[in-house]
Amino acid sequence: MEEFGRRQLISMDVDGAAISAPVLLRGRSKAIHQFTQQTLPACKPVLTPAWVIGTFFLMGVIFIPVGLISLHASQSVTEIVDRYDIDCVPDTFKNNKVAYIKNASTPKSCHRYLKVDKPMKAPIYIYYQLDNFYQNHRRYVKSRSDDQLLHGLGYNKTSSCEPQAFENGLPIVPCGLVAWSLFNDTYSFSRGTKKLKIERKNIAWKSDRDHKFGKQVYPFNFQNGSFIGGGKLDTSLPLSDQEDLIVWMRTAAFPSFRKLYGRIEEDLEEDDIIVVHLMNNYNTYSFGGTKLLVLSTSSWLGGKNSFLGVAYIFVGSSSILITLIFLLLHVKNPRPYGDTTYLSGGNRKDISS
Amino acid sequence: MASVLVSDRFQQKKWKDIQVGEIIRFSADDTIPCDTVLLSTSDPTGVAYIQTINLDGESNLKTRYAKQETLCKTPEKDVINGFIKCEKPNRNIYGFMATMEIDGKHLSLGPSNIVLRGCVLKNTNWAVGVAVYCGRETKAMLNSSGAPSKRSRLETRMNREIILLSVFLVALCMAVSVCAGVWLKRHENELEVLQFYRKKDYSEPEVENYNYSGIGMEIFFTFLMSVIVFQIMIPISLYISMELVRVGQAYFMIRDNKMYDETSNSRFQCRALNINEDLGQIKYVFSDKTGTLTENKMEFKYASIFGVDYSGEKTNFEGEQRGYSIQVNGQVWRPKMKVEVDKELLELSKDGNNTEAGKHIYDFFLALAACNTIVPIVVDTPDPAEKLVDYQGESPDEQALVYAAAAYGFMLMERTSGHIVIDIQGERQRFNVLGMHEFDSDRKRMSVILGFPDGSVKVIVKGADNSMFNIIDKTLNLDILKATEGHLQSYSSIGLRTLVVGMRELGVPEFERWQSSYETASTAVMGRVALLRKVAINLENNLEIVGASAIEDRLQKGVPEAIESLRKADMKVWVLTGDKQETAISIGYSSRLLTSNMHQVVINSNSKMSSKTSLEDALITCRNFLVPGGSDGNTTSVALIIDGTSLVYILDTELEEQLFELASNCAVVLCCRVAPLQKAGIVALIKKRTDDMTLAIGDGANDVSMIQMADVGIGISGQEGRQAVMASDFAMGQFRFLVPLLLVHGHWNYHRMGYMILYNFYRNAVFVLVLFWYVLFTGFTLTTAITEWSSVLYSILYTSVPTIVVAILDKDSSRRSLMAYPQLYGAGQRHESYNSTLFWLTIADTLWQSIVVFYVPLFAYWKSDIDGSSLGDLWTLAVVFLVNIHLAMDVIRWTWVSHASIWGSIIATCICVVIIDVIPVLPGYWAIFDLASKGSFWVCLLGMSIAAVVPRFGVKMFIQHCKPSDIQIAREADKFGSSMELARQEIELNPSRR
Repeated sequence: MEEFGRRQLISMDVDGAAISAPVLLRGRSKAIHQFTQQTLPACKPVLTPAWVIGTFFLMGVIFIPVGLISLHASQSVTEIVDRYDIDCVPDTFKNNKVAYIKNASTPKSCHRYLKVDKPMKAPIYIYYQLDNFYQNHRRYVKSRSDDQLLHGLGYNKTSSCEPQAFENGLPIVPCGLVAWSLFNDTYSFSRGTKKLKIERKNIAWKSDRDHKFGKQVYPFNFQNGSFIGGGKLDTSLPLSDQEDLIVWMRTAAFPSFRKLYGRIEEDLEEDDIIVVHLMNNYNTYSFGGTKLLVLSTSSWLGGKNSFLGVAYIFVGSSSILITLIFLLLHVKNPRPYGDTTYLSGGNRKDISS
Repeated sequence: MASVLVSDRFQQKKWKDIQVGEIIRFSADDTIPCDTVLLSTSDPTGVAYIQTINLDGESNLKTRYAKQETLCKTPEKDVINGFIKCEKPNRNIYGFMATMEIDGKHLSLGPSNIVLRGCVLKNTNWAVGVAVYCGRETKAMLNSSGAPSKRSRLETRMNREIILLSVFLVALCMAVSVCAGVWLKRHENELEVLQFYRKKDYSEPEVENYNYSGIGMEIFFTFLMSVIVFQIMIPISLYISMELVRVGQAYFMIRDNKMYDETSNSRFQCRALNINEDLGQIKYVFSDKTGTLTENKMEFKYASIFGVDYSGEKTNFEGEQRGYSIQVNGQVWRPKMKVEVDKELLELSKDGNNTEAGKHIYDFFLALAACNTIVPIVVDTPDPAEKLVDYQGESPDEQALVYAAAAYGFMLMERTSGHIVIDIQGERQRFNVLGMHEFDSDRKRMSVILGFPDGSVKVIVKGADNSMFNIIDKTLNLDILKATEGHLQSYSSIGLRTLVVGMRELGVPEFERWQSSYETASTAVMGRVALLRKVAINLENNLEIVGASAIEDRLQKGVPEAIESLRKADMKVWVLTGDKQETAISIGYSSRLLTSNMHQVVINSNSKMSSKTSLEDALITCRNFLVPGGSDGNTTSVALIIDGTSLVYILDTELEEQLFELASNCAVVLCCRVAPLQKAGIVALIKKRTDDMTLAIGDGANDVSMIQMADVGIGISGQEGRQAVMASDFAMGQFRFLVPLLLVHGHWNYHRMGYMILYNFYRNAVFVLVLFWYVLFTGFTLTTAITEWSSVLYSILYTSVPTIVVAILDKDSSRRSLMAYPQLYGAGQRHESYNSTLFWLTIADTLWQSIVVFYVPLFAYWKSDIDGSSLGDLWTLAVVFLVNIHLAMDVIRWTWVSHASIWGSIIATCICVVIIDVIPVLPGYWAIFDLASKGSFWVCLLGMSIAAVVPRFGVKMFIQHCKPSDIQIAREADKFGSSMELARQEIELNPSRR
């Protein structure tokens, strides 16, 4: 192998060297000569069957284990998913869910019982999941002012926030549809009789809290209009401490998304029954969206998703298959490499036709 | 500016203001502004010498005459009242018919009385003439076809595919807007309350729609918006990249030492920047002969004098004696050009008239020195005691002969219309020129009637061998005639141009008879040419043979090898020349264009009917030869030789089709005696009927129209002026540079450009498709996860440099193998680097790659808490990684530049993404750092990049194994062949070490 490598080095682009100027050029002028005559030293890999077979084999050898590891990581994640948006509507409103959610006087509280199938190690992440909610809709994504989030009322070029920039003639902080539509269902959990402690701090990115949302910016004139889109904000807290807002303002990539609500810092045992006390405030009924509550542990790969593992195993095994095909081809139907007597002048094949 | 006679005085006037009928005065070295009939010149006999290099490419001087009747007039003093009646303006530069009525006399004017625009007056102090054709009507202007704008074939094809891409673009936009319409329709009732849509603006007392103007308009706006988002699909930047790449390629072509002409110290010139890649697809090469294949330097080689062959060793007397020279008034005069002389012949010629052989040699060289139209011009040298004699004349053959005669001691010193002075071995003699019958193509000979100092009168005739043998007296010296014939055969077999010289003494009665008929003929108004020819034919007979000369029209260096390479590369080489058929054929042999096992089909016709029949005959013979030749693989091929007169009847008529069919079956086509525009006509004949690329190469002004007509025009920067170079797309010093230009640079350029175009299509389409797939998941609203900045930078910064660098520097095959195996050039002729199959394959590949890039993260992050900006960053990085890996897979030659540009682009992209993500007021603040801290990002990125390229890699390897292209094989041979050679050398070296 050592010998082979050395020889390859020698065989690197010698064309031109043989016919180039006999005068020995040094340093700079040599480099210029090589450049202008297009004879810069170069590596010209020619993929022989051995290389091709080796490459595919290597790909298979890397991809299958990575796939298996990913699959294992995904399987080690336990998650409990509970869709509550339908069940939390009282029977009397079943036929008119929109009326129920719009009516401020109807009771919104709701109880859900979740059974833990497998033991879950802390931290357990609490997500809410919305389906069919286009947080990436163009009208919606654009309707925000990152400058205002940082500088507060002092920043007044908030035309991008329309139609949610001004209310009753006064500017809105935080402005825009994204903030206006803040998710406002709340959850609390108890196991048996004991309340589970939920960590609601540090659910947003530290970078957002520190640099993106102003520490001196307080909500102003928010959710004061006739048409309420979602949650209200505590006007005594600066935006940098409104972590639910910060999480919500990181608009999701897809119309089905989860957002972090909090963390349970206790392990959950098998067959535990978790009681969820939730306030079903957020309107997904008018557009046929769904709301789900998700409790999930996590792995190095993230949540429960076996797609990457399966995809890796698929690519890896395809590579092994191709390796075998090429091996067979090469054994059954070998081709002399670099035999110039095979030069055909295009009679053998005609790609262009 | 030219000086024009206005109210009895010559005044300066701009060329464009000159009117027909005005009298113009020229000085020496003036360029003639319009076609002018000469009235008088500084020479008392009315001769003016002109150089016609701009018109027909011939650099020697030609003579033009003013009429005797107008000679004595001085325009300032005498009033010249006359009337010239001439034919309509036409483009025939060799013909002119007019009559002049002056002082009541009718004079006929011919081509020798007119000087054409573009000529230069030489060795004549002044000349006065009447303008007959001005401006656009001049023959020079009528012959110059305007330079057509050329566009490369590849680019034309590319434009077709760009239209296809536009259709794709429109289809994508339509799909998005229709889907958006459907989505809006289905959610029509919800739009008002949708948190993410909010149709109405409630902030004002009056609730109105916000940015919503009905489904129809929304569809329309979506369409417009999608056009804006997806417009990168049309690779506008590709045009800029192509220009940059062409500049780079041009730089390398210019700097190539293999195309540097040391003798003229000239590098290759790229005059057109937009057809570099056409050089790789040439199928037909049209070449001029004189100055292109040959050096246009005639050299006297051998002589056969009275049946004795003097073709012994040549010695150059440069060191010893510095050639022949004579003393004139204390000054040394020597001929400008030195000729290698035969020592034996030189000795014999010095003996003079004393011996029998000496007598014949005396006659021979006297004939050479006298029987011509050469004008000796004495040129000063830096040394005042030395003068050079420069022989100027119409025919380079005559020049060579006169120089040869001078070298053997028969130096022509002076020529006027009445006499010549020849210095014979130091003794000056004056001969009266009693008459001259100039060369014409029917007689193929010329003769001069010379009055010797001793009072005798001889006619000396010089001409082509077949025309001469007919008029030589066969009763005398039959064996000498046989011997001469033998010598001529051996001379012409090695490609020399031969001339035979004959002589006869005229008796007094015969001379007088001739003189009277000559005088009547030369002053005849009607049919003068025919009359003169008749007089000449009557005179030129029963000659005694004097000898024969052999002149070498030296081929340029490397021409036969170059032609062989071009033909191996499956190019058809056509030679179009103004020369005689015999000369053309002999050059054909010496340049290995014609070989002895070729069957020659000759077409010389004088009418349309005869050309038709000869074409039909030729086609039949051609088919007869080709059918058996094809089956048993015999090398019999057909060469077509056709002359200009036949072409007159064939071009622009329905016979063109037959000629094309015939010519395309012939391996070699030689066209002789063709006029400049006919050359263009022949090129057009091929260009019109096939898709194959044509190339024309030439060096003279007569090649300009052909150079402009062909797809690629190449000018040789030789001695014949700069017209060809000015009209050409590329210019170079030597014909043989055509081989590295086409086989190496052309091939590279074509491959690089073809690959770059496909790659650019792919690069932009894959990005657009990723954007498109995302739009399907945003309610069809043109949201881009990828930031606007990255979208803009994508084609400017992230991916632009590597494609340009690779397109300038990558070499799909080494220079050595391209030169060694000319058949590799076929790749370009067969459009192997760019064709619709490849285009569709690329599109399919693009589709697959975009699907992998988009859907792998989609499935991996579906229902997860990932935000749009993070995913946008992932897509940005993935696409950039992918297109660069894709390029890296196709790079054949990795230099540090390609490494730097490809990996550098990836690094630059990462840096840009990071920079964009550290700006707090952008929504994507810190996204990339958050993303990179998660394992799924890395697993995704690796998986996407590999999975996307696997099909391409697999298919590529499969094709490489099962249907390797010629290039592939040559590349392998280059790599493994050289290591095999090295191994062999090591084995050889090993024993010697012990």
